[in-house]
This record gives sequence, structure tokens and C-alpha cells, in this order.
Amino acid sequence: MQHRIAVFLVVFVCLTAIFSSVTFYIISPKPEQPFMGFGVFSQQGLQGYVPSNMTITPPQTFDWNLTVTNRTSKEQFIMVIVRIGNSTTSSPNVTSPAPTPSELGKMERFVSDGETSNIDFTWTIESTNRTGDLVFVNLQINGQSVSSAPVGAVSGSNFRLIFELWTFDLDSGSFQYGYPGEISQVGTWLQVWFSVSG
Amino acid sequence: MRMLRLQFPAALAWFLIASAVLSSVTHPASAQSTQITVAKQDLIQAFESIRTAEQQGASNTDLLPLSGQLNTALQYEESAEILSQQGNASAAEAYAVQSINLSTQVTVRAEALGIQAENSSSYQTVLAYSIAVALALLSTVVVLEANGIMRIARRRRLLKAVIDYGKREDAT
Repeated sequence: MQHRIAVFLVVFVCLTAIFSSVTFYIISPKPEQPFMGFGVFSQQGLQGYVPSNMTITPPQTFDWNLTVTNRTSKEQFIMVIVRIGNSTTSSPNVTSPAPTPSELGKMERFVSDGETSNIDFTWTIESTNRTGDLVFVNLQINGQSVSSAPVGAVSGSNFRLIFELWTFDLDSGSFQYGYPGEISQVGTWLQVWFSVSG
Repeated sequence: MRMLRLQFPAALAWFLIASAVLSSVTHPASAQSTQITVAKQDLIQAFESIRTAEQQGASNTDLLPLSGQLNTALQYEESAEILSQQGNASAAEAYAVQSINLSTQVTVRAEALGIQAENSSSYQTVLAYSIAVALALLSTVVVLEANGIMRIARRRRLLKAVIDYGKREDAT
């Protein structure tokens, strides 16, 4: 009788371990690689992917859309910083944002996990100022007037609009460049080239 | 000494008048900036509570409307900031208060969803493991008592079987 009980217990413990492992596997959340997508779109089509492809004669207005897709399995509080640069401005990279003096504006949004947020980006080049060979532009971004100064471009050619994605970090209580990746922050940025004539 | 006695009430009166004037000038601005600061803090708090609710297992479908509400609160806060810069203190304060109310609603709802999700998640985990143990028990019985079960089944089949004594067919 004792032998039967011992065998019963051994088999029961083994089967419990097997069934519990299967249950753990089924109910555990599947691992996912976190990422955030960032895009800029225009109904008229974007032509500024490469330099010298888009020439603007002021005053001219553009209605663009910035899209931010969140696949980080977490709600994100994002900020898009818009900067202006020229052909010699140092670009952002995967770890560092662009230098600060070129900031034109910022937009903030809360984006749920799995959601793609559309942010309207309406910008107008109102006029230009020429100082010697350098051309500076006066812009309006989402209704706010700003100037490209101190960033100018020789003969008004090869300006860049740089868009950087920042996310709010609750631990530090501030926005950090990029989004939280598996190991560290992953810097994400876009740029659109344009030249100004007239 | 008499001069001093006369100067003291005069100085006090001047001090009180000056403080009253200064406080009336600075009070609205400080109150307004305080409301905007509170609105910003409440937005972050609401964001934090959504994050906590996510960790507690609240579903995306439940949290999506809260994110929308939080974006509206953010718009109110941004409007308050713009109006404050333009010097429209009362409108700025009204927007800041709207933002605070909305953020508070989001915080309360997110906390409730988080607690609800946590309870539901614990119940589901307990249920899943209970089913696993029950299946293990059933399987053990089936494995160890397979022979006995088959014997009983065979016996039942035999008991149910109709005894055929054979037909005697008379030749006609």
C-alpha cells in the first residue's frame, strides 16, 4: 500500500511540474522588441529627402503630418523638437541630439502602446533676411513666429528641418532624447532639405 | 525720542501700504503660474498612473480613452501657457483648471483600472494553476489506475452483454 502511495506521489509531482510549466508558458507575456516609429508626411508629397530638391519662394505654407508609432508596450509621453540646420550643422545621431541653438519649436503628445499618433505640422516661410552671403529665414510654425537665426545658409540653399523624437522619463522627471530601447535610449530623428529663393 | 515715536507709525503705515500694493500687483501672476505648474505636475501624475495601471495588467482598450483625455488636458495646459504669455491671466487660469480637472479624472480612472486589472489577473493566475494541478491529479489517476479502469470497463461490458443461449430452430 505504501509503495502505491509513493508511486502515486512521484507521478503526481512530475505531472504537476509539467502542467505548471505549460501554464506558466501560456500565461506569461511574450517578449517583444520595443520600438517607436517616426515619420513625416505631406499630402503633396515630400521632395526634400535629398539636398537641392525642394526650392521655396516665400511666402509659402506647407501642411505636413508627423506620425509617431508606439510599440514599446508602455504609454509614452513624447516630444518632437523641430530644429533648423544647414549643410554644415552637425546632425543628431542615435545617441545625441543636434546642438540646441537651432531649436524652432516643440510639440508634445501622449501616445498609447500600439497607437500611431498624427501631429499636424503647419509651417510657413514668410520672408528672408540677407546678411552678406548668408540668408536667414523667418518662419511660422504652428502659428508661432520664429527666425532661423543664428542658423543661415549661403545663398539660401540647403537648409534642413530636423525633427527629433524625445520621450519622457519618469525616473529623471525630464524628456530624454530617443525612446527607451532594450538596453539604452535609441535616438530617432528625421530631416527634410529645402532651399529658399528670392 | 518723540521724533522716533512719530516716525514709527508712519513707517509702519508706509510698509503696510507698500505690501498691500505689491501683493495686489504680484498676486494674480503668481496664482496663475501656480495653476499652470499644478496642471503640468498633474499631467505627469496622470501619465504615471497610466503606466502603473499598465504594469498591473490593465488592457490597452481600457487605457486608450484615458490617453485621449490626457492629450486634451495637455492641449488645455498648452493653451493656458500661451494665454499666460499673452498676459490674459484669467483665461489662462480657466484653461489650467480645466487641465487639472481632466488630469485628476484620468488619474482616478487609471488607478481604478489598475486595481481591477490586478485583482482579475491574480484570479486568472490562481485559476490557471488550479486547473493545471487538477489535470495533473486526473492524469496521475489515469496513468496509475489504467489497468483497473480497463478491468472495470471490461466487467461492465460483460455484465451488460445479453446472454445468448442459442436458438433452437426446429426443422419443419
